[in-house]
Amino acid sequence: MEKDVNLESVKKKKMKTSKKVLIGIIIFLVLSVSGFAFLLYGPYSGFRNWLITTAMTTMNHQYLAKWFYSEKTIEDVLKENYVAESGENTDISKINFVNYGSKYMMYKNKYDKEILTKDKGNDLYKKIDINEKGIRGYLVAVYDPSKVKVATAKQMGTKGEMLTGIAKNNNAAVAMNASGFIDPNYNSNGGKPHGIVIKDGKLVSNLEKAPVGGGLIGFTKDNVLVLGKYSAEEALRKGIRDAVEFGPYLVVNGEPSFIKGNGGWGSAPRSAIGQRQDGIVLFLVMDGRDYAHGIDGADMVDLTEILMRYGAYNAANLDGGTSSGLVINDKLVNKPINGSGEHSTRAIPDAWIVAK
Amino acid sequence: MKKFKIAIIAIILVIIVLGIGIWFYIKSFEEDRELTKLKVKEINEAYPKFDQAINEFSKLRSDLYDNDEDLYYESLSFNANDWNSFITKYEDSIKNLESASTVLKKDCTVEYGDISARTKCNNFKANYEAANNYFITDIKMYNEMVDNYNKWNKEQGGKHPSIKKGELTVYDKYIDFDGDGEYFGKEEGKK
Repeated sequence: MEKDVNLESVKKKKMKTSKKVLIGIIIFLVLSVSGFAFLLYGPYSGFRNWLITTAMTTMNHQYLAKWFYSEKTIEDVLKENYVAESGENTDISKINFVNYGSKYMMYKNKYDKEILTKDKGNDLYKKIDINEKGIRGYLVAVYDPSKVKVATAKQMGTKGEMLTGIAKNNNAAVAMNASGFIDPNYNSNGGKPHGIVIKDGKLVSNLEKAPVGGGLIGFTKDNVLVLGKYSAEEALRKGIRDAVEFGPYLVVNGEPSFIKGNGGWGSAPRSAIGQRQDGIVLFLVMDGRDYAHGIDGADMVDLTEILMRYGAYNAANLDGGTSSGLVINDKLVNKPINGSGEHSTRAIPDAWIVAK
Repeated sequence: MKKFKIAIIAIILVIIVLGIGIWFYIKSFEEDRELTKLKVKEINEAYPKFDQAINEFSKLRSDLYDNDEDLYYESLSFNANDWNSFITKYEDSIKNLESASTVLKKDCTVEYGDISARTKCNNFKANYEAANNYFITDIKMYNEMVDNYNKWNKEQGGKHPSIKKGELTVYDKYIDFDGDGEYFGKEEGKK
């Protein structure tokens, strides 16, 4: 009888222990899952950012980010990333102008052929439409870099002007927006350009710089596009004839800037300028905000890829968004959409033009 | 009781197996990242060599077309040694290009997140296709001329020096290396 009682109590003890172990395991599992969920979706964004940026920089594990997060979240995290410029300035000696006029065209590849095959009767420029992977844009190859100049709004400093107006007033064959402008409450008239503006060898404006990286984007008297962190005095001493100041630099001396994620600028209408090693200048304007047609816009990676594909040796981002515009023979070529959904650009302080 | 113990053991085993699985997975993830970094480094190191080889090829091609007006019988006969030497150099340049492309051919099979690697791979594919297709077009054109010359030489009693034909050393058919459905460089010789 006593023996039976002892056996029974031992059995009961063992059951209690096993139950405790089981409960412990369940608690451990619950805590693990909760902990993991907390890391993924909790207030601490470090793990989430690490997972997304890390997964998206692999070849075969991008789904890890896509399993747990929406496209928008991934994009938002990548927007926190950045463009890291090389810190170099343009090496002028690497630009060697080629007069293709009398030479048989030795195309390096199909993009080279596209640039170098001029439109009939037009020795000044060629427009190439870019339509791919949900982006839409316009590349203009300018064959004579001496024709590329800065043009300013008539009342720059006080009031901006529409790109079509700047183009017409300066007899431009082609015009593209250039500087960003001081716009503290998003309601400025586009009159005050950020940073340096040099026109025809004279400093015409030197207000606060935009916090966009980059620096001077200008042409020397020898028609070389120079990218460099120069002051206005340094630029003029270097013989810069026309320049604005913006960024980031996308390509310097043939090397693209390091871009983490999508460069931290997101997708939007964009403008950029570049120059090939043979001297041909490239204007690039990308449409955006055309959600009805799946055209969100371009990011820094898109700009860099397109420009390098067409041979850009030096290239820089210009002001984007509603400012982005391309005018050819007095007509707006791109399809701008402003922040309110209207099909319009806006008043800007200055532009890059191709003089007739 | 026995069933209960078995259940506990099973749960523990499952946790262990899951843990090992997760550990292996994380390891492969890290290896993928490291491999990607390595490939990006390889591409950045290999590309300048390829770029140089492409420029050398382009220069020779340019020389060919700058002198193609000399590709008639009498001048070929007179400059036979020069043309034989030139065509050997031209063949060597495409072999050199092929050698400079080994790493890029191996690594540029995916789209990289790194913009430097991505743009280099895009340029590599476009230029590689163009160069190889140009070479085929040029050798075909040159060999046609040599065939005509040899026929003429035979008619002349074989008294002129022989000109060797070019060889298609890498590809003998046009390639679409960048997968865009076009054979850029095919018959892009001077017309």
